[in-house]
Amino acid sequence: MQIKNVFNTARRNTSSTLLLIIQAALTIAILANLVSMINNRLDEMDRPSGIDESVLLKINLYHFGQDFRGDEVLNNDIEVLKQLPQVESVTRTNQVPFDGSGSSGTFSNKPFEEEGGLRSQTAFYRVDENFAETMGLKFVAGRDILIEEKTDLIEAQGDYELHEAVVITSQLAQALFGRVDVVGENVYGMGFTGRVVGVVERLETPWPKWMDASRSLYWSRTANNAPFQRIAVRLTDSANVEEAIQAIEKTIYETYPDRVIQRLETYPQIRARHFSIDSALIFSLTLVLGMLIAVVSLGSIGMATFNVERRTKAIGTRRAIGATKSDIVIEFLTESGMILLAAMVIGIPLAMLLNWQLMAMFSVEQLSWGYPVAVGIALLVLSLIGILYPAFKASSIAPSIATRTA
Amino acid sequence: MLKMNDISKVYRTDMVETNALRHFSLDVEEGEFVTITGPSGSGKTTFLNIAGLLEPFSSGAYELNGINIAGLNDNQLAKVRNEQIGFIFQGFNLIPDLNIYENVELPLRYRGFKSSERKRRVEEALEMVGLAARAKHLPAQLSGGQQQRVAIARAMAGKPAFLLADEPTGNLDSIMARQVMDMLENINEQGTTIIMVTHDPDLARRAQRNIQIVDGQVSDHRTYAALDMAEV
Amino acid sequence: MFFYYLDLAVRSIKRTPFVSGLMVLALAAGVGLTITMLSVYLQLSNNPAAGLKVQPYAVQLQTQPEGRETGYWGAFRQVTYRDAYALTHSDTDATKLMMFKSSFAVKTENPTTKPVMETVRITNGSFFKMWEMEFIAGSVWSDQVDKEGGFDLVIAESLATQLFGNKDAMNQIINLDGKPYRVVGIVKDYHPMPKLYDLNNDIFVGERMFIPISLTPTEKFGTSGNNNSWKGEPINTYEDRLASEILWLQQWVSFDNAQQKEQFTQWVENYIAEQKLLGRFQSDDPKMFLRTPEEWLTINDVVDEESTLMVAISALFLVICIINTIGLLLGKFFKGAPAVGTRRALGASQAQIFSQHIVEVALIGAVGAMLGLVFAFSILNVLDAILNTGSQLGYGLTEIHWTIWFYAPAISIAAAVIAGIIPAWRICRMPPSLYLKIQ
Repeated sequence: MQIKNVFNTARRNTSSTLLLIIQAALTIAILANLVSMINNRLDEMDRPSGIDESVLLKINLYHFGQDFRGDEVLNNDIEVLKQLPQVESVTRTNQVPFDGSGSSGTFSNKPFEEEGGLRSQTAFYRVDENFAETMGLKFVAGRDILIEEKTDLIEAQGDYELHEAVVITSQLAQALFGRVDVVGENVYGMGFTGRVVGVVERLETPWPKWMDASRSLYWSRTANNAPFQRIAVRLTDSANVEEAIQAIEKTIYETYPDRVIQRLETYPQIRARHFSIDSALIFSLTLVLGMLIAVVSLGSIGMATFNVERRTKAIGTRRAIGATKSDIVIEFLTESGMILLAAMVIGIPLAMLLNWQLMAMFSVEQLSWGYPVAVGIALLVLSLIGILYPAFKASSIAPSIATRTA
Repeated sequence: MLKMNDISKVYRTDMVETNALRHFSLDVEEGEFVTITGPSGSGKTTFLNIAGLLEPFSSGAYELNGINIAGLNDNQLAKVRNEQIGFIFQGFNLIPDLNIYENVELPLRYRGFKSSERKRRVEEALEMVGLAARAKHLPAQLSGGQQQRVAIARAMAGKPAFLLADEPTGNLDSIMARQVMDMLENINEQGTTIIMVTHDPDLARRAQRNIQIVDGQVSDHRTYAALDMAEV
Repeated sequence: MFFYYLDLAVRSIKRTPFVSGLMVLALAAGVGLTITMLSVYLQLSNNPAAGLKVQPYAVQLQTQPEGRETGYWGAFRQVTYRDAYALTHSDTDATKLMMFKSSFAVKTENPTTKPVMETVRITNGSFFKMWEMEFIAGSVWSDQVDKEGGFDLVIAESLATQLFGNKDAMNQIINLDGKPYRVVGIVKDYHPMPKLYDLNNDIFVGERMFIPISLTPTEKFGTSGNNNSWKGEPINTYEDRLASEILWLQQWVSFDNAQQKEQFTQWVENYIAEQKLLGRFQSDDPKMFLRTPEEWLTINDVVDEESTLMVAISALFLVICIINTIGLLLGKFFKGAPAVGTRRALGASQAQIFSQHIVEVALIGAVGAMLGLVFAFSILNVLDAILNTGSQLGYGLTEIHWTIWFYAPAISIAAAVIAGIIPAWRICRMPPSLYLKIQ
């Protein structure tokens, strides 16, 4: 009975019913894709780095003094900084995860001259012996590089066949060897051969936007006298970072004044910088999401109000011939529910279609069916709640309206 | 003045075909006051809509003040309505956003008169219905009788050839109704042709000629005098 | 009649403030978002070389063996030092430019000033000619310096003011990493949007300091740009680096006439053949590409995928806003149907009724556009704050692109009118008799 009434009403107001269905269907399609995209971006931004971010600082130092001797100055820095109560350990490294600046090259499981080797673009860290401990790396196989395995750049000059101890990430091990425990294997690249002594669970590259952002390795080769130097500092605890930063800055300028702290950043800062485009995108997508819901729900309330006004006389007549208030409310709810169900029938496939379209044009991930279904159900519930007020307003129309001629 | 010859009007829905007017013919001379009566659903309203060029007809011929109506497009119909016909409705149909002056001005705007010409005519028309002082009021601030007088002023402002009135007193009490009728008769005496639809036999009798429509056809057609005689 | 319709529209909007407000807000939201994203997109796809008298070309050399693309930055968007040097010093008439970016601790002779880090473009004298930079004092360093090296320096006006205040900066000494350079020229600040001549990083920040690239072999400048290499080769000394296959310089050329282009192309073809013969160029088909600025912007993917995506999403959102407005307008217009019936009876034509309603819709659209612009400004400000934490993007991206002043009202009114056409059409086509009886 209710449904028949609803169909009759719908048939009489074809255009507005159709509009409501189209609007809701499009809303489901867009909302589902928005929610999915926001989720995926958030996941991307939550990407683990493999290091203890909460206690780490990265410092870029630029030295302009004449006859700057990098090793001397930096090794002294490390000793002095470690004296600070806020500092647990310090490491020299050419790069840190997510920083956006660093070195990479192609590495292979076979010498480049040989056929059939697997290759991977790999970030290579050149670090001192404190690196693993300072960053808080987790070994899944083997061990860290020993001090006696450290190879000095200057001494190694020109030695192409040099064998060096390297530690690689489990993801790089998988890519080059198809397994994680590759201790004892050799990797080849950048003109040298590295012997794997350890595998860490994770150490992200400086560029998380890479497809293979987890493929890195490190070896112990820091000596250089270039004016640009980078260190990472591990704090004793993650509280009072500001205070620690001040103490560290002061110490750095005191130990060697002819330099500039080009950039000192905490990991939240590094992440905010690196993921700024993602943040902007998430902000924009969330804004669209919010506005979409606002526009559609306010619009639907507006249209429902018109509907009640337009049908005032018909509702009065129905009341006069015996429909109860709840009949009227139920009729409105049924109508709204039917519209949303129809919208879901169109909107869910439309969401998938839109997703395919977006995937074809942009690097958007595949949409799972769950999203449009969940969004559709949420909209259904929302619209049922939203229709309650106009429905109750309609149910309070006096039956006597029907008998008025005007 | 108004010549309808063999006019038919058929409404079609999915299920049924309704003949609202069947082979309807009518001649109204210039200066006449004709009333139309008939039971509910007889085709009165359809006649009025066709006569007022608000609805097309299915077949037949209609000539208004020498203009052949069949075959006119919407623009031409609007022009004829604007220049030849004044409408008076049962519900007054004043536009609620517009004040009295602006309501009366409405047909003059659509005719494209200059503002000074409009002002002259609106003032004249409001003077005629005795509401010049209320020009700035909104319709809602006036009584029903006053509203209908405004509607008459609006209908007359463009000096149409004839007036179409649809139950003009239907929503008014008897005193106000009399005022409105007196005003219409006065207008008729000045030379404007009037066709008025009503269900009130007393009012119908006041006209020179009454036409009764039943089932979409003229069922009774008598002059004022003949009607009187029949009731004697 | 237009002003009459406008007057009617204002009254109608005043009579239904809630629904009219809803429509204005929906359109403002849709339009505001669309023009925001469009502005970002336009700003990114701007071609800063459009106004140059002589079109420059970016040089690409395809030299690496097939299947050995240099990392994820895409193949050969920069050139090696060897090739850049050879092409720049070729005996051809073209204007040739090689360069890279570095940073230095900058300090004036004034003992009280602290050193500051400044990004420096290391290039040859053609740079200023090719980008038509305007000297406000002095000039570019001499050809002699371009050949043999010399500690000359050109700085931008804003840096001159920053370092020397009101004092004349010409001939002042500035120390870069402790090495004294003499200011020989001051140019107007040049910040192309985006930084077409080097799109590798910091594409919205131009440099303010320029030194001769001829100093490179002796001064061993480091680069703060990208280094990409397809070849695994040991790099232990600066000489190794200069002789290596590392791609780290940007190279541009321009030609005054077709003969110059022909001559240069011919020269490079010979050079490529020679290098191939030497076994250095390992590509099966080594060749040079000369890219126009438009092509270069496309190749470098300057328009972030995200910004295109957001334009698409915001356009979809605008469609929803329009559909929403159609629904509300249908309701609103049909509520006013009796008055329309009266107007029709009094002689209004369908066209007049249509115009009346379209004017009302356009007015709503215009108000929506203004609100949308305000809205766009605030979104852009938030985006600016978020993006400024990134190193990639600086100021400029989130400025309103000038063409938006045309787009915003056009989009808004078009959206409103598109939304209004169906309801206005339906209301004007409605038989007037239908609504005359009903009050």
